[in-house]
Amino acid sequence: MGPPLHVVAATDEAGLRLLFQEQRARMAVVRDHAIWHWLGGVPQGFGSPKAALRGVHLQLGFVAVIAVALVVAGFTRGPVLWGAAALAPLLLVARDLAFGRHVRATVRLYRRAILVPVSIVHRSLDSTLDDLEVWNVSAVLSPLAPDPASFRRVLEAGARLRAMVERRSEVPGPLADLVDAIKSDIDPAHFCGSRVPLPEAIGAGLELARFVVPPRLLPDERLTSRLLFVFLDPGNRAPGHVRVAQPLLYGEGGESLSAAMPWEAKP
Amino acid sequence: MNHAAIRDRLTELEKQRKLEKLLAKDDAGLSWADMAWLLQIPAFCGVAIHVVRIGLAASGGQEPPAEDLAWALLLALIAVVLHRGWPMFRTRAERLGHRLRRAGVVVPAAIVQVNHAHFADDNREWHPGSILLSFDPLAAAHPQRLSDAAQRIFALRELDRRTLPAEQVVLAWDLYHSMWPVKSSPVPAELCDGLRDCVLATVMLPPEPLEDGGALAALALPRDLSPDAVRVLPGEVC
Repeated sequence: MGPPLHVVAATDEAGLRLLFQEQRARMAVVRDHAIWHWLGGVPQGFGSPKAALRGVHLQLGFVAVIAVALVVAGFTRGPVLWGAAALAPLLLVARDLAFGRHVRATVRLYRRAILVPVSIVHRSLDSTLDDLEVWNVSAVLSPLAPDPASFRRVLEAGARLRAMVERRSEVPGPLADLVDAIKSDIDPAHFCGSRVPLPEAIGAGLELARFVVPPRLLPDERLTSRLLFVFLDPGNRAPGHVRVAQPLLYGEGGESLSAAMPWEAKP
Repeated sequence: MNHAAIRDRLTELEKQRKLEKLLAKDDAGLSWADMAWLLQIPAFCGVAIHVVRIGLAASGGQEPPAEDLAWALLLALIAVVLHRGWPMFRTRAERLGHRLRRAGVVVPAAIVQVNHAHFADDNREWHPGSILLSFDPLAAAHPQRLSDAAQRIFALRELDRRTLPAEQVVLAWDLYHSMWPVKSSPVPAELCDGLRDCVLATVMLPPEPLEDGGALAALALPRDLSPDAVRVLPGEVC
């Protein structure tokens, strides 16, 4: 438990340590009280509005079938009654498949999630969405609980890789394919919240994450910084396991760090 | 309107099944308890149909078979279980909400922190906030003491938590991280100008909360710190 953090500089080692401590405590509040809406809600993590609606329909179907079975039971004890009685649990199983497994996967991610800073190396506007400024982002991160040293490594690696992607620095031969892939990838389907390990030449233990940045999760609903905070499951690089965190999770100190690293400025 | 009169009004609204809607910001969705309550209707229909069938068969001078009678008993049992037992299908939050509406105590409360939008002239939304409430009868007589205490507690938010006594650290941290809903925290009497049984709670504040004698009116369960055990009453209840 430390002081209130309103402004933290990237060079302030003690401030950064307190900030990461505070962020861990904020994640613990979410976990301890199971207030999952701060991480995006349940089952939105892995489900979809359609799946949730299907779950509601199947629940209603279950009740309707039970109601029919209860009325039919007044007339007969034959196959119609037992057919309806057998259909009811099947509907509950179907509901679990359509809805319950998304809930479990989402809560599993939220329970394991850690908050980490990411350094954006490339961003492209999602062309499928005309009205909203939704960015598809490639970013460098360290999938371990952050400390000032790992934060600096992420920033340095992000700056180096961004310079290569923007052709401001020479691209070493072994990294050419990676740099080209980052630069040319504009397929929205690839920005699914997955991660891949980066070559040691960029930084040992670092990863490249690709994800979508919804504007509603940004302080002014605009992506203006090259530093973001995401939460992720350290043990799972599969799609959906990296998500942008909302400002209350990284605090004013985190916001000040992001604001101090505008996208326009060349790192 | 004093607190006893407000409590009577709440009891009346609860009997009319209107209170739940007035206290909740949004609909909780499909409730298994409501569905179990609804299922008693087809269950009793099934019983009635079966009994009529047995009666019609018996009118021909035939004794109804024992298995038909047993079936009627089974259907009747299911109907009675649904009729009497549907509240068992309530979730923990629904049970707590029910207990709060039936047995909650009306107490004075003061805002500690809330989104600025709450005070906008055209505000029609519920906003999250933190309130200080007190079960001490003195608090209702001296609402200013409660509101002064709320300001003192708000000031904890900007203090270095490493320098605070343990019982104040939790209050300072809850106000600082501002996430909700979290468990309520008891507030030491020395922070509340001697008022006893004070609690810092996170709530959704209605756009026009009910005010009574200079303080907000809240409905709360004594000795229950779960976040759903406190509601600020909206003006519409009276």
